[in-house]
Amino acid sequence: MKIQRRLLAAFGAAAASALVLAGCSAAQPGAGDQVALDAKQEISLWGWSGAPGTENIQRVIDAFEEIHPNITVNYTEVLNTDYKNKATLALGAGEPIDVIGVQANAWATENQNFFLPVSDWPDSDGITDAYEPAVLAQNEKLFSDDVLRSVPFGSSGSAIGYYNIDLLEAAGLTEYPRTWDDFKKLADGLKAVDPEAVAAVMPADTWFQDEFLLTLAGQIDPEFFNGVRYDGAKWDDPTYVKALENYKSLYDDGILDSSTLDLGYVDAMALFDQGKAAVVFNGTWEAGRLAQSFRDTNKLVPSDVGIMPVPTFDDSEDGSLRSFLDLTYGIPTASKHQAAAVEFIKFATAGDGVAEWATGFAFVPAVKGFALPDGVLTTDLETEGYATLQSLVANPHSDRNNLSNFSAQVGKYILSVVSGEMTPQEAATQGQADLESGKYN
Amino acid sequence: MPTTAPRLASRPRRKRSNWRSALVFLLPLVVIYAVYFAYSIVFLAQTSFTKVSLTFFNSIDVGWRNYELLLSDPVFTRAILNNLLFAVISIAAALTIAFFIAVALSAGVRAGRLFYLIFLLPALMPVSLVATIFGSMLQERYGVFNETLRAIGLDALALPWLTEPGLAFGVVAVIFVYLIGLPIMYYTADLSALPTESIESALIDGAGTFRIMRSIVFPMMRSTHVTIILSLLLLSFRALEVVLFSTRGGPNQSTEIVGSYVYGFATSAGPTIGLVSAASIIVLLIALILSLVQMYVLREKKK
Repeated sequence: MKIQRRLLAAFGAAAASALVLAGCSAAQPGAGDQVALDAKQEISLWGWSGAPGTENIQRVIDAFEEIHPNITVNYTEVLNTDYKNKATLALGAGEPIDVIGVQANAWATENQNFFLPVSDWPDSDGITDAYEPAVLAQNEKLFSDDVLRSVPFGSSGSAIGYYNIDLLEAAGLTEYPRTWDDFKKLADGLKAVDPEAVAAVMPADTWFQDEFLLTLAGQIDPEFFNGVRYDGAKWDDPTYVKALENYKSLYDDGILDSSTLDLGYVDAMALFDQGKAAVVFNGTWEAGRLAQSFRDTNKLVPSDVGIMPVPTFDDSEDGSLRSFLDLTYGIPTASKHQAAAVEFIKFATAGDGVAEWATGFAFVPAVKGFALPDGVLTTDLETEGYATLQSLVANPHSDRNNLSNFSAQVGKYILSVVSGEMTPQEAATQGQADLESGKYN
Repeated sequence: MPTTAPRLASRPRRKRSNWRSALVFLLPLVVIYAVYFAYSIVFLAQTSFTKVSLTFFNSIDVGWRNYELLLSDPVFTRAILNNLLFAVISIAAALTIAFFIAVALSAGVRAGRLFYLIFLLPALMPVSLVATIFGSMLQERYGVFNETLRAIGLDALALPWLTEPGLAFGVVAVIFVYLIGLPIMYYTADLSALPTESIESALIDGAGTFRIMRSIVFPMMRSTHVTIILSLLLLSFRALEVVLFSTRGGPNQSTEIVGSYVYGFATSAGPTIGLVSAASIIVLLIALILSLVQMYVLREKKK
């Protein structure tokens, strides 16, 4: 019995120790004892891949460290698909993060308790005056208590088309197709001169199918998506059903090729880059292809690349897209380097750092009146393309404020409509049922 | 006579002493199990009754709602069914093709080791790589498989392998079959330890090769069959990469399995962790039932 009691006591002690250890590791460190701005220090910056990309952010860091030799910025980049989970766990575990990339979607709201209100940032008076008011208004929408907890970095939009001028000219077009009827001419012209090439590709990833469909829906009713997202409007609205019918008709009429609907994101972009597709539909984050330097470095086949809106079904309409703030920067409440963090954020989002990353074209900068430095774009087509991109992102038909998993789910129904397994009405009804189910929000 | 009584009296004491020694050795494992496994399961079960995101802020108690959502979701039930179907296909392939290959290799065919390596290699490669290569090869317009078919004039056979539900299901099934290297290894190991007397007697009695395989070798490897069946059944619930990197669960979720279903919700933003936990508990119960079946089958064997 003695031994049994000892064993039980040992078991209890071990379990208690484990719980205490677990409790200690979950506890968040306080943010007291702030390090002064002029002290020698290292700050930790977290972001996700492509926001705005390792090379781009490294240029910002290098330029910042040159001005502030006492501050070293350590950058951690997490794969974009893992960011939501990893960053949440890191914040919850109290990892020493000083500047964190805050995604402009439901993730920001869910994690808002981790972020220091901008009004509490050291030396932050007037910081918000530097940003475009429309973008700042989007930033404010991210937090449920109307307290601004991050500042805008850059915006993106979807969907747009990137076109290969060589293939357009080969197909007999002198300008990019503005309507789907024009696009049909591109498809037919291309088939005649180069049967191996396709008129258009796009990622078949379900989330992008949703992006593309919502672009078409926005051409029919610009208020459709915002109505669903913010005002409780119905997903199975006639607008959405009509957009599905339109999308299916593109494949049925041979304007788009259904045999490309198994191409993943990378494959779709690779086909365009190899000169096998005249147009690739994607988001504004792929705009690096506009720059000759990017095309040369990555050995892209198109000699010149332009940007076009997604064509319309009605020639009286202008193309448009959904856009939204993509990346914002916040400061975790646990940071002990808040003064240095604010300094870095100002530099990267509204200071000289903007020109360092904006030339990578991942986002359209949120700072007021930004223009690309001279010499970045060298041809008329590139310059016009970037102007088109800026104009589209600044004048969206609705917010690209996605519900990520719902987006991926309805994308599956869109593909089923194209393949004929579901009718447009069935897909819309199923989407509405999913939205009401509570599984996605 | 005087030696018998003390010996009888010492047996219970020795038994108790052995039991205590066993407990001392088992205790560290029990503690680890209690802290990490039991705690995880209890935590998972608790979370399954809530609506909460990964931050675990603002958790809302929703009772059985997550279970209701899952069990009324045809995609989830189809995912479980698909899991079992893929497991059945995998098992059928193991009990026939893998067994045949293992026997052929053990029979001393030429370059047996080379063939053994060829068949085992897919199982040693990362599953994600195998599935990605299959997915890439089978693209309708630009995939190597269809391009080859077109090049040799078989255009009619260049099908939409990944976008037609029946074909996509077949593709995933083929990948499962392609990964039967481990059953081949199990069979090969067991065949080398098989007592040869029965086979020699059968040969003397004039039994043919097929008869020997069917009536002697196959039944003698019953324990290997059981191990293979149960391990493949349980492995099918962990075959996320097979689906994720080939068909991504499509088209129209026709190839969805439980792993890919859970993955979709677990990696998205939003309060989905309760739902994911509930799905995990359901899968855990299914795995538990399968394990109980395993125990029952093995117990029967002992009898």
